[in-house]
Amino acid sequence: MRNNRKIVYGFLLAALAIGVILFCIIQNNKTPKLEVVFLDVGQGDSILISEGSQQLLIDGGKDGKLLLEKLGKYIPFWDRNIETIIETHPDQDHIGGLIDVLKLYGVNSILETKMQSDSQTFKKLEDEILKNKIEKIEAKKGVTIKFVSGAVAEVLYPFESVTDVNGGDTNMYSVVVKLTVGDNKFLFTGDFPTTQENILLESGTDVKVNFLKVAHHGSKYATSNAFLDVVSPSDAIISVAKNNSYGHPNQEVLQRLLQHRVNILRTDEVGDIVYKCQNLKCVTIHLFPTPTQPSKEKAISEAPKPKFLF
Amino acid sequence: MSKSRVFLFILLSFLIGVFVRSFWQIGQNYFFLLSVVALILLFTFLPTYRQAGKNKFATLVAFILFGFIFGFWLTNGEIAKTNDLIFLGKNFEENAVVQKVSQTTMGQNLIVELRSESASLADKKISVLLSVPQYPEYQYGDLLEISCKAMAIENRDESFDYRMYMAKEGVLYQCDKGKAKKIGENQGNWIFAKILSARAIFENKIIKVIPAPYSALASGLLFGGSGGLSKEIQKDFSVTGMTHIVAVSGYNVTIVAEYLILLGIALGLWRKQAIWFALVGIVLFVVMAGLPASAVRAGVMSGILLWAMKNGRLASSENAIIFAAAIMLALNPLLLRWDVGFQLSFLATLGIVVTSSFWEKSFIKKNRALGISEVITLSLSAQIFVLPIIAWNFHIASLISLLANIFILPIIPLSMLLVFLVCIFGFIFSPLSFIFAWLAFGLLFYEIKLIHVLAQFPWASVSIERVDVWWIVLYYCMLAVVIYLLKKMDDNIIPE
Repeated sequence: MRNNRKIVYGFLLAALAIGVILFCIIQNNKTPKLEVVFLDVGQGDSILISEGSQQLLIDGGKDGKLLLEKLGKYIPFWDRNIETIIETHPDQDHIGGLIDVLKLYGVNSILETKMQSDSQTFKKLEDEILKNKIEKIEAKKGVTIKFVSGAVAEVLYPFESVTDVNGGDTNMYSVVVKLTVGDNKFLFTGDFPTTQENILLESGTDVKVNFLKVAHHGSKYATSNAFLDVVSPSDAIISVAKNNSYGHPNQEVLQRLLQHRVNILRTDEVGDIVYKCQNLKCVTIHLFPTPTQPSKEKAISEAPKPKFLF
Repeated sequence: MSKSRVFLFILLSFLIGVFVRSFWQIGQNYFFLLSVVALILLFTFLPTYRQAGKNKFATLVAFILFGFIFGFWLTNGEIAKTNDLIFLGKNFEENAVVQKVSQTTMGQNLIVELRSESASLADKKISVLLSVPQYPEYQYGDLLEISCKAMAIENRDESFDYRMYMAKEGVLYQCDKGKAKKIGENQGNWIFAKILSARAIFENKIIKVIPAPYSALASGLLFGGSGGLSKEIQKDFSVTGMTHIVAVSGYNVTIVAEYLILLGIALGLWRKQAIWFALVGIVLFVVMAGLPASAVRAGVMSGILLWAMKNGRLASSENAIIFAAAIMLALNPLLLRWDVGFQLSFLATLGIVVTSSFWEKSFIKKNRALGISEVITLSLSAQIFVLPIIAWNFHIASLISLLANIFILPIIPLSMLLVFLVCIFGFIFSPLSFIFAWLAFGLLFYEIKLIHVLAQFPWASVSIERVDVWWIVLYYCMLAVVIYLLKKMDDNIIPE
């Protein structure tokens, strides 16, 4: 008798828990908010754009374990699907983490250029794509990904199919993506170098955005003054590890950004950087005037000599 | 003096012999002298052993000395072997079979066993540590063609004796810039390979439906191992003294067993049946952990504990535990100093046994209704016994550990059950697997979050730079005295 009662209570409790979970799921799906998260994956890039149960992941850092923990934090726990992945270019610090993601999450399609790499990591990634029967879409100008709320991610570069697939510099053909959410725009640049920035500018592509992911972790061979003049972002996000061996982000780049009156957010300083979009506007929860970062006004007045910065 | 007492003393002296040689070197002359004294004692007094009194005592001393000498000698031999690096600097160009793979931040660490045809190596079992990139991935039983230069294993930082850690597993060499090429597979033990692949399939069922890091905790609970958790979370676990829930040690296995018994009783089994239930559970647990030697040892320790419970002799099963420890050390004396798992298994089970009658009388009987008092006392006695070991090995003493254990241990078995159901239904009916995954997620989320919150407390743990071995000896001597006094009090109470 006593045991029966225990079993009944057990079942009631379980049913209640399931009810609560279902309620949460329905609530969450009813009011989807678009979120753009620059994940702190150490020295590497990974950006998650998530709206309700639809996700777009741009690159995956180099460490699968770390990336999976981050995804577990920002993707609702019942959702085991990432609809689309964009692989900007086949460098270790952009694709290393994706292998584990393909193993554990359902992925519908992956966007990548024809660019090849002879690294074992790239081979493994291609194996996993084949094994899991993921649809491969060639990333080039004109490919778009639409979100339910009307937000659109659009590939701006490369313009054509990559022909130099075994070429030395993988960064040359790094995929550039623009995300438009209502009035706000994001530009994701992978490891896009200055030479290509100029080509993109010459083509007259509209790259004016509010939020710029700084190319190549703040390398000095990217993010030129000319590029910043046109893009004119209000915030710049640098995805970089603390004390990395490359010396990223470069001081010159930081100065260029300050001269353009851009707020700088760095994953090595603030961790994951989250932008929440609602009513056609995107805002970040991070406050800019932290001790190591001057406020916008201060930055303007003292921009030429940013000694207080670092 | 009873026979079992004599036996216990000889075993203890053996353990002390192993302990002493593990930490100190005694000059050969002293060692020789000691042996001679023992022999003289033995030959003088053994013929007159039957006569009571001094002769008997002297014979006993001789045997105890022999126990000590044997332990010392055995350990000395093993330590000498680890320093005898005859292949140092040799270029290995051999076939080798992968024995163990562990993931590191840089790539994979492989332990490979050479399969050599050349005469100089053929009669020896040589295991080598090989660091290779993350991809391609290797697995147990893969046949590799390796070419590398054998070097001694290096300690990467001072706080951890990596060289001896590997040496106790029989691995004396490493190949840093080694090359490996896979040329075959399934060269390992067939049964072991099957167990490992079954474990991998089970684990896959978990990680497919539960997001990280909760899935890593889930598989750690079920199969042991915290390798799937990130450094930050592992640190939280160690600060709150909760690492044991994801490690297969006697501590963990015993607590699992204790819960299985409670579960069995709750399901309506008799106590003795429930203990059988728990024994079966332990065997399954050890097999699912992939049958590593550490898990087998842990299983043996807590198996003895359960057996003693079943026969109602829990309070007097120290002998069995010390006997098991002595056998394990006779097989590999290096475990005593260099295997944390062994230390934790041995001391935690011993702690539970020697304090059980005290708790039973003073605490549990009075507070039976609480139900969780058993959990608290079990956890407390195990904590007291392993405290210096954790400080010694991990340079940390968790002050918040008891609190964390009280809040988290009671739901561990339920989490394990749910994760187990996730696995099972992953095979039979996957929608149900999802439902269980949600329920399990709730508990796992609570566990990781609570551990994280508790780890943030300013005094959650104190870090201990270096523990002198004498402090540990002193601690356990004091503990022994306290236990002895408690026992004496017990014995005095009984006749009343």
